[in-house]
Formats: sequence, C-alpha cells, structure tokens
Amino acid sequence: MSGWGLGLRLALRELRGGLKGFFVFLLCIVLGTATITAVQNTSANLQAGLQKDAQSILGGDIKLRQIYNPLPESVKNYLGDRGFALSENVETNSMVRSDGANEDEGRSTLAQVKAVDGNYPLYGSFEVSDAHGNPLDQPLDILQSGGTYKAYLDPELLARLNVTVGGMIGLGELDFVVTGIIQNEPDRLGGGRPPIAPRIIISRDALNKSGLLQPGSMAYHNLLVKLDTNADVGAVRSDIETDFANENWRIRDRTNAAPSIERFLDRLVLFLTLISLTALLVGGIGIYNAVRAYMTGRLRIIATFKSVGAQRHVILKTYMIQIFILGTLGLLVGLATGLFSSAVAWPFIRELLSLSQDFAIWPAALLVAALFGYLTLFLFSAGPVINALDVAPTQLFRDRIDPVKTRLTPGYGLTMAVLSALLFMLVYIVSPDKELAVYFTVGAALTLVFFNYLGVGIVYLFKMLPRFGTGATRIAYTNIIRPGNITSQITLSLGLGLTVLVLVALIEGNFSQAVTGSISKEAPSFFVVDIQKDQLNDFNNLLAETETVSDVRTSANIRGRIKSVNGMPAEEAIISDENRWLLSNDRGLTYTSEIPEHSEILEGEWWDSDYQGPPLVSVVEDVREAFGVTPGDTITVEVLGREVTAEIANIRSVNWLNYTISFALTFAPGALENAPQTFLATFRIDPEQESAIQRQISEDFPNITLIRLSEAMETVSGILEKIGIAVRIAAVIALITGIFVLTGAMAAQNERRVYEAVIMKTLGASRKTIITAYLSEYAVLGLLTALAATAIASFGAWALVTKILELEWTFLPGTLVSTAVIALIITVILGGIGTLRALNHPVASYLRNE
Amino acid sequence: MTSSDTNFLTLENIDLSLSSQAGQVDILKNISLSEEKGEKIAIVGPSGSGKSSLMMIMAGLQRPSAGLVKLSGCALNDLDEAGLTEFRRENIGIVFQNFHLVPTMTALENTALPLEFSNKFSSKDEVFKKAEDVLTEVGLSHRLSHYPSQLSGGEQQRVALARALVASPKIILADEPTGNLDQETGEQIIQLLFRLADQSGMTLILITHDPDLAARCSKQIKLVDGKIENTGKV
Ligand SMILES: Nc1ncnc2c1ncn2[C@@H]1O[C@H](COP(=O)(O)OP(=O)(O)OP(=O)(O)O)[C@@H](O)[C@H]1O
Ligand SMILES: [Mg+2]
Repeated sequence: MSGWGLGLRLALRELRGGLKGFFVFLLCIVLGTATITAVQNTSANLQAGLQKDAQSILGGDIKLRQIYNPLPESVKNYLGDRGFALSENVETNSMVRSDGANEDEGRSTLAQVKAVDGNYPLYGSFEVSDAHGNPLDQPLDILQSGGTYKAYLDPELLARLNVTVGGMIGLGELDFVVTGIIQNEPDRLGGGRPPIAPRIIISRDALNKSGLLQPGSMAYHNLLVKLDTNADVGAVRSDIETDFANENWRIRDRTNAAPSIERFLDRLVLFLTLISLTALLVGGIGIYNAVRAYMTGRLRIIATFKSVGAQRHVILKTYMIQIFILGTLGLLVGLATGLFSSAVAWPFIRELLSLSQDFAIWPAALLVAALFGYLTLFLFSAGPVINALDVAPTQLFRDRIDPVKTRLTPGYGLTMAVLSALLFMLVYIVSPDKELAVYFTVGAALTLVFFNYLGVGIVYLFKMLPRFGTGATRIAYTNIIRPGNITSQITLSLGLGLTVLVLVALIEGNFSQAVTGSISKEAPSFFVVDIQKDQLNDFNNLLAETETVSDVRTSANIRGRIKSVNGMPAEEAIISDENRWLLSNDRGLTYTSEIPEHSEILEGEWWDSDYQGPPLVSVVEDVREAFGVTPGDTITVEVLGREVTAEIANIRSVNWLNYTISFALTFAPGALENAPQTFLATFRIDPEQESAIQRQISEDFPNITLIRLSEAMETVSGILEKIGIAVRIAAVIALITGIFVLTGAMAAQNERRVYEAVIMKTLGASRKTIITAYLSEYAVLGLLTALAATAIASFGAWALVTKILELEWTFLPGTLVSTAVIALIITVILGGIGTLRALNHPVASYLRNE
Repeated sequence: MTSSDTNFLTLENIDLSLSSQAGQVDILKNISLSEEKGEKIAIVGPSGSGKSSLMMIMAGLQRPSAGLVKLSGCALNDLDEAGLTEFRRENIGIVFQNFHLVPTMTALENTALPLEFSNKFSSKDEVFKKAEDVLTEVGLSHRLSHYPSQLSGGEQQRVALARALVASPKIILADEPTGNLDQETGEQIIQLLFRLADQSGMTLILITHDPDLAARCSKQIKLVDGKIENTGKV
C-alpha cells in the first residue's frame, strides 16, 4: 500500500482547520509565481510576435544589403526572372533642417533617412496620417508623385524641427514638403542601425537627387525579395549564395529577421526571470517560516498518529499533500495574477515594437512558472516537515510538547540536494546564457546561506560582548540574543530582497553612467561623418574660426573587410564566435602616423611618425582574440576589390567608452591613402554653441551628418529608462516579498512581545523605555542587514559590470546610503507597529488571564 | 493456563537513563516484572517516580537503556522503528490523561484512525462500520460526527477509549485516564474501561493516583524513585 490515498484523506481532514497561519505563505507563492508568469508569458508573446511579423520586420522573405552602392542589376534580374516581387530602399543618416521665421529659429537635427520605392512595403502596412491623425490614402503614390519633393516624418522629428504638416524642411540640397506623419513603419525593427534618431521617409528618386549619396557615404542599400507563398526560403537563399559566391552582400531571411533585437530581448527576459526567481526565493523564506510554525502546531497530532501506529511515510505524505494543496492554491492565484499583468502590459509593449501579435496565454510559460513555484515550495517546506516527523510520541504523556529542532538529517539533506539540483536544472534550461545561470544559482545560494549565518553570527557576537547597557539598551540587547530570537529571520527575509534591489540599482546606475556619464568630461560634443575629401579643408577652417571649438580630431574612414589572416580565409581563421562582427563587409579602416588617443600598446611597437615602407597595421585586442595573432603575423584586407596585406606591428587596447573614434584596424601611412575614403571628425564645443554650429555645418555642407552626443544620449536614455522600469518592478517585488516575510516573522513574535511589554510595564518601565528598546533592536538589525546587503550587492554588481558587461565600475554611494535608509525604515516601521500594539494591550486584562 | 499467559508481559532488569541539561538522570532502575494475560494492574507512586516512563517502555514508545521487554511473545528490543509501529498498531491501545484527539477530525474519524493505518481492512466502509460499533459500545452513537471541541471532557475520553479499543488490542495502557475529569465522569470512564476489558479479556495497565481505584485492580505496582517498592495482589 502506497499510503497516498490515506495521506490525501488525512490531509483533507487536517485542512478543515482552514487557511489560518497561511496568509504569508500564500502571499509569497502568489508574488513569486505571478512575477515569473508575467515575465515568461510576455516573453513568449514577444517571441511569437517577432516570429509572426518576421516578414514585415525584415521587409521581405529575403533581404540583401550592401553598403555604398545599390545591388547590381544582375541580381535584380536573376530574382525578377524567377517571378519574385522586389523592392529597394536605402538607409542613411543625415541632417534635416527647418527654417524658422527668423534667422535664429531655424533648426537642424539628425534623422535616419529611409528612401523607398513604389513597391514598399512588400509585407505589412505602411501607415501615414495627416496633421489630424486621419490616415492618408496610398501614401506611396503621394511620395512618388511629381512636383515638389515630399517627406513623411516621425512625430518626434516634427517636434525637434518645430514644423507641422505642410511645412518645408531641407535635406541635403533639396527642399521637401512635410506631407504626413509616420504612424506605422512595418520594418523598423529590422533596420540596420541603432535607433539613435527619428525617422524620415522619402522617395529613392529624391534621395538620389539630394546629394547625400556621395562616393563613400555611409548608406545601406537594401534589396527585398518576396517569394511565392510555397517557395522554400532556404533554397532560394542558398541559390543566391552559390550563384553570387563572390559578392559580399549581407543576406538575411525571415527565419532570422531581427537577430540583434531578439538577442537583446532574450537577455532582458533572462535578467527579469532571474530577478523574479529571487523574489520567489525570498518568498521561500516565508514559506519555510509558515510551514515550520504550522508543523510546530501539528506536533501533538503527529505524535498521536505515531502512538496509534501510523507509518512515518504516511505522515510525511499527509503533510506534503497539504502543502501541495495549499501551494497549488497560491500557485493558481499567482499564475492568474501573472497572466493578468502580462495581459495589461502587452498592448504597451506591442505598440512600442509595433507587433501585430494579440495577447495569448502560453502553456509553456505557465509550466515554467508552475515548476519554479513547486520546486521552491517543496525546497523550503520539506525541511520543517521532515524534522517534525521526529517528534517523540512519548511527549504525549507530558503536558508540553517541545518544538522540534532544525536538524540536517540524511533524509532532509538528500531532499534538499535533489530539489536544489532540479531547481538549478530548470534555471539552466530556461536560461539562454548558461554561464549567467550558473553565476545566479551559486550567487543566490551563497547569499541565502550568508544571510542565515549573518543572523547566527550577530547573535554570537553579541553574546561574546560583555553584557552592557541599562534599561532600553539592555532589553534590546537581550532580545537579539534570547533563545528563539528572530535575528536570523530578519537578516534573511530583508537581506536577500535588499541585495537584489541594490544589485539592480548599481548595475543600472553603472550602465547609464557608462553610457551617459562620461559626456561632461572628455567626450566630444559632436561626431561628424561623411566629410568628403574636398570638403575637409573648408570644414576644418570653419571649426578653426568658430569660438570655443576644441579637440578637433579627424581621421580617414575607409570601408573594407578582413579577407584573410596569415593567408588563411578569415572565416576559417576566426577562433572566437564572440568576435564574428569583425568579419562584416563594412569594417572601418583608417591610417595614421600618431598613436590614437585612449590607446595603450599591449604588444609590439608603434611606428615612427615618418614611417615609410611595407604596410604595417595596428590591431585592437579583439582582433588578437578573434584570430590568435601576434605582431609579425599578416592580415589581408579588401577595399573595393583591391587587396592590401599588412604586417601586424602592434596590438592595442582601446577604451571604447570615451566616445573617441577608434578603428579595429589602423594602418601605418602609405598603404591606404589612395583608397576611396571619407573623413570622420569629432570636436568639442561649448554646450550653448552646439545648436548654432550644428545649423552652420548642415547649411554649409548639406551632405555631412552630425551626431550630437547630448541628443543621441537622450534617445538612448529614454530606451534605457523603459527597460529600467521593468527591471525595477521585478526587484521591488522581491523586496516586497521580503517585507511580507518579515511581517510574518514579527507577527509570530507578537504574543511574546505583548507579554514582555506587560511584564515590563508592571515592573515600572516607561512607555518610552519600551519603545526605545524595541526600536533600537530593530534599527541595529536593519542597519547590519543593510550593510551586509550593500556589501554583497556591490561585490556582485562589480563582478557583473566589470567581468560580464566589461564596463568601467563606478561606486555609487547614494544608492548604498538610500538602501540602508530603506532597510532601517522598513524594520523600524514594522517593528514599531508591533510594539505599539503590544504597548496598548491593557496590563490588567493580561495578568488576570494568567 | 498456558505459559504464554503467564508470560504475557515480561520486563527484565529494565534501566532507563536520559540525559538532560543537568546531566544524566536515572529514571528507572532495574525493573523486572512478569504479568499474566487479562489482568488489571494499577501502577501507583509519587509524582516523578517514573510511572509514565515505565508505561512508554511497555508501549514500545521508549527504548530502555538496558533490559528486555516482551509482550505477547514478542521481544520489543528486536523490532526496528517500523516494526514497533506495526506491533503497537496490532496489539496495544493507549489512553492518555489529555485525550489527544485530533481536533480537525470527527469522533468517528478519530476512532477509525488505527484501523486506517493498518492494512487489515480492505474497504473504508468496513473501517468506519467498525469504528461506529465501538463508539456505540462506549455510548457515543449520537456523537459520531462531532468534533472534539464540540464534546465534553468525558465524551472526549470515551472517544479516546474507543480509539484505543477499535483495533482489538491485547493490552490497554492508560495513563491517569481520569486525571482531567470530575469525579463522577471519571468513575463512568473507569467502569466502562473495566467492563470492556473484561468482555474481551484484555490486559489493562492503569496509572492512577487514586488509591481506591488502584484497590479495585487485580494487582498494584508501586514505584518510588524509579524502583519497584512493592507489588501486591489484592
Ligand atoms: N526527557 C527527559 N529527560 C530527563 N528527564 C526526564 C525526561 N522525561 C522525564 N524525565 C524525568 O523522569 C522522571 C520520571 O518521570 P515520569 O513522567 O515517568 O514520572 P511520573 O511518575 O509519571 O510522574 P507524574 O505522576 O507526575 O506523571 C521525572 O523526574 C522526570 O523529570
Ligand atoms: Mg506521568
């Protein structure tokens, strides 16, 4: 007989006692599983959405991309002959100007230009509205129609330029009428450039006449292909790859429409999953406390069961089934809450990424959340149940049942080990980043153990101290070390939540510090791209004449690709996948006689400034990692069909975060001077002069693109902020769970507190003494926990920031101080509420009861 | 009288020492006794003399530090934890001073517990039929679905009695079964206990502080300071 049936029967009878004492238990499960469900289900919707809209995100079934030049007629004919629909567009960054009524009111700002043909878009719908939000009919026909040049703008671009529909703007050498506001651009997510500026859409014809497409201008030419519904996309793709084997187009198909977005979202989801898992683990402490309290109350019954001949395994099943039933209740509420949150958030996310996917419920997401929920539930409740089984039935002959001691018996240890291993496996399976999964598990386990022993340690330390203080101090002191103290529970429940919160705050702080922080110090005010060779002098003169301009640096920009290393084709020579970006067909190359700023030579020597001789190249660390090269090896690059082989003279490390222009491959003078090239420049200028110089340059050199760092940062910070909100919500839920756990732990102490307060009052202690005593106990513990949490979180954040994100570490004392304050406030307020309740208990009633 | 009757319950040189914070406490010292089946034995003695401890050893709930325990031909020393549990289920009924009913179970369910844990009954109906019979026997046929909190002290002890009897044990161990009841109710319980023991020929071991009650038993064992001071047949 397995005992499950009997266990279930007994469990159901036991549950007639109701949910009393399980409030915190349920809350912990609900919060934890709700967060995981919300994250997982939203992630599943995102994946489905990207999948569903893959064709419109990519812009077609297959996309060919080439820099500088349109794709040749040969490939267009090749695809056209097979009956596929084609569409071409060009993407480039450029300045857009608007004239104000007065000279001073004119504005100019960076925009991402997309020039489309009449077939755009092959998939999805391109929606444009007039000034009142009414949709335009046939927006493409309007765009391609003759007469004035027309442009559609993002709402944000309208605002930046201070123009409305019907107004005029300048782009390159042409004037355009603002004809409509872009409402939906189906393939924006699949675009090739990071979204640092708003969009403007014009016709290809207009772009060709605008003078923006100078030789060597950074423009992406895309050819989009729409297959017949039943065509095999993989086959067509490989046909193109074989028949045009010598071309270096980038080919992408609908099975991998937006890989960088997908990778980014994967990371974000993983991060959120891990934080919500932490919330669940914090809840685990609440589960443990609740189950332990419950089992302590059931000891007499367990002893009775034993005395009438119950087998140990039946009793175990009886209680595990109860916990399963109660846990399932919490889990169902958690899943429902999570789905509800996910459903509420989805319209916003969908809008943000312009996906067509409707909200859906994903069983796999629910399964993951439920598995996490159950594993945590049993991990934290098995111990108290197993320990309770050890109650001696002989105690039934006495008046009092002693609470069962927490003992790590072999059965307990084995159960913990198996459940922990399963939990780890689950984290490992759902995590796209295996390394991070391991770090997380180890970190979380160590942190849990640490905060448990922190409490033990505090008690131990206080015991070692000579007994000190009088009155309130003395009472506080004895409370911390008293047998049955909740010191460990305070450190545990608060510690883990605080750690996550600080960790997240520090990582976020460091991240935005890294992105935006260095602007004020050394970063240039502007990046300038696409300066033509014949404009370089005039450009430099303009800067030289302008006041407050400083730190002007220019460098040649030649686009090429790494063809081979020591004679071996680069695709075969590469040894680290992480550095595959080096193989792209439009790597920037430059040449210089002087060592670039913010570079440090790691190996080899920099060349003499008057070097003349066979080609030499200086490469960055990533190149060394990618190909395992050392000075003396050779690298061959291909620039517009011409090959240049150079010997590696040295290997540099570069701090990319200083916003200086830096090239992975920098050649010594002599090798590349005659290659087609444009120039890049950076310069600093007084912030007040930024707008003026921007306007000036875009008027004098319409084809030159200016990236104003402060503006780009605003766009980036906006995106970071939206992500930050999601991450912070998850972290705050972990902390809130901790607060509930703490409330539960303190409530369990309530009766003792009331009793103590009554005794102290009878002995003549003033209200003030009692309040001071309790609050200082909580304050000391809150503060110590906060200190430990900030220490651990700082270490964790430092490791993550410097080792994984590879950013510079900034210490953020503000974050740390505010954490300590939060911890203090939480413990003191929670403690204070309990204390006041205890104090307001009338003395007489209590003593009469005795 | 067969030999198994004379040696129904045998204790040989039982010692019990437990370690407490104050150090080792010798609770029982060299206890030996041999009892026949169907006897009613009273254990008496001052508080703290070791009466309850002795009963725990007889019930197989406590292992002695030294000595042998034999009950109904079975050496309890040889049984492991699971074996003791099974043996107890089949052979021993225990009644406590504090009743120890499970508060979330009805009188009927409390009574049925030992049968549910045993494998002897194939169907639930059979189990509950038997439990109902025993509850009727103790005069509680009208209280089957009452919870302990809805029963008086005397009724609760009747349920406890029914629970001890339901698996037809060979021996009943009762530790001050009337200690928490008023005189009159206590007397009813004792009469019931005696009657049922007589009916089925069970052995009854009863701890009591009441000399009159002890005198009504067939035999008295007096414990003083962990040792048997004298045993006397009445
Ligand atoms: N776990 C234990 N550890 C140490 N000493 C114990 C333990 N349990 C009981 N004792 C001691 O053993 C002695 C005998 O206890 P026991 O309960 O058997 O006495 P009793 O005769 O039943 O007393 P009462 O009439 O008060 O019920 C007592 O002195 C008691 O303090
Ligand atoms: Mg006793």
